[in-house]
Amino acid sequence: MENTFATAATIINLLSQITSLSVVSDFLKSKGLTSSASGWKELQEKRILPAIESGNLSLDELKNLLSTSEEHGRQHVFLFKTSPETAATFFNWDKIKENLRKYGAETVIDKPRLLNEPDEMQISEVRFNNEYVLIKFIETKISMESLGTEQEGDILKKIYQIHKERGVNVLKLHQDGLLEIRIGSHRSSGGYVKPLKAFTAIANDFFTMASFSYLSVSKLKNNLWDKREELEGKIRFTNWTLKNDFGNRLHASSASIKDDLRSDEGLQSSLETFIESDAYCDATNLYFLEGDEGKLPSTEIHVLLSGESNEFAITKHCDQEDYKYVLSEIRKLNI
Amino acid sequence: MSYQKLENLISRFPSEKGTLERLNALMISDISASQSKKQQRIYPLARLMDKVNPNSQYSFIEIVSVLVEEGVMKRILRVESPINQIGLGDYDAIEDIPKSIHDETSDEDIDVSPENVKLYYKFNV
Repeated sequence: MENTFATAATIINLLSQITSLSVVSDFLKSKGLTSSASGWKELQEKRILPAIESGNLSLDELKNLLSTSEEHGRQHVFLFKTSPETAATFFNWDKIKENLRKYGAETVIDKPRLLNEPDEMQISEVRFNNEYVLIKFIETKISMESLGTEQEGDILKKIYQIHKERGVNVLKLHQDGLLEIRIGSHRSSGGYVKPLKAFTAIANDFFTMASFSYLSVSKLKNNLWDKREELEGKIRFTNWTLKNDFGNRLHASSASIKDDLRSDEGLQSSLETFIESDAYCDATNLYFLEGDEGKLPSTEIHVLLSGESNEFAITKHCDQEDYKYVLSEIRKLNI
Repeated sequence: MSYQKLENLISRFPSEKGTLERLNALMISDISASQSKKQQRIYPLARLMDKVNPNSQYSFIEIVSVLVEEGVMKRILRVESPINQIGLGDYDAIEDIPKSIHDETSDEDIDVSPENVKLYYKFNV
């Protein structure tokens, strides 16, 4: 039981980093368990551990909650596509198992592994059904925070604090041929080209990347601009970057991340003039507004559309249904 | 590009005949535009693909490589300011890119990292 409690404590610690107390409380409530708590410590000691001890809650159920919470949001998502017929060739459980063994992850065939901050990226879970194949990887992302400088004589030293953060990377192939390569966000600058290249090499073992082309979101960006008035009440925008084929750019930003650029008519007018001279939308920051009366999304979701042509980012962790909603809207608007 | 060059490419990439014709039309339009404006159009690869809509992204990348080799198109590595994305310098090869560059727009020296370097293509007019 001590081992079980230690594992539960690890899971709760990880949950506290990626989701809210209310999400876990709602989960306990859905199982008919007492769920109120003023903080994570109380939730752990007075609700979760006693429920495990009494057999009313299993470790697997807690792991499952972590699994669905950790793999959505706080990621940069790169979209690729192939035909449904080609996708079907990768729904091959024997081939997937062979690759899992190659990566020393055969135990996940039976059940997911709980990984905290591994030294190297490792496969933690695989899910395989008629709708999708999902392979999840956990890694430790390192970033450095500048603390200042120290001078000793003629030597000037820069001092950095090393931060470690658990990163969740996901490969998800849908039966309709959409492939999501989701890379956990990192704090440091540097973009995602290098991590994408490294992770795509791994994806190639499972899905032969030469069978996929990247799915550009340029139509999405232009549709978001064209339909911006129609989307009022659903989406707000805090900045736009428009660009033309001469490489000239027009950046527009709202005063704060809480605003909506559409409220400034003068600014809108400048952007419209530039668009009319054959410019296009290169990047935007947008927020899907919280749905009314129980509709999705359950909270405001920030989406960053910049970087690579097939990339979008959800900057904070979100729940599975909110992520599915955002992805569905992105796909609808990308036609 | 010359009629012969276009025909050679079409025979090499028959499934991209439409793509090559659209690329040729784009080139003609760019030549015309560059005569009236002081700037020439430059395209990231993804933008080129949006404009000519190839059947296969892989074939298109090959086509562009051939056009660069033959001098019809030019590849540009542009160092852009991290502050406002303005182009600070254009280079033909990665090894030509300096490790540090002065950003006149902010009057700061910046370390050039891969995220500041963008790849563009333009037609040789």
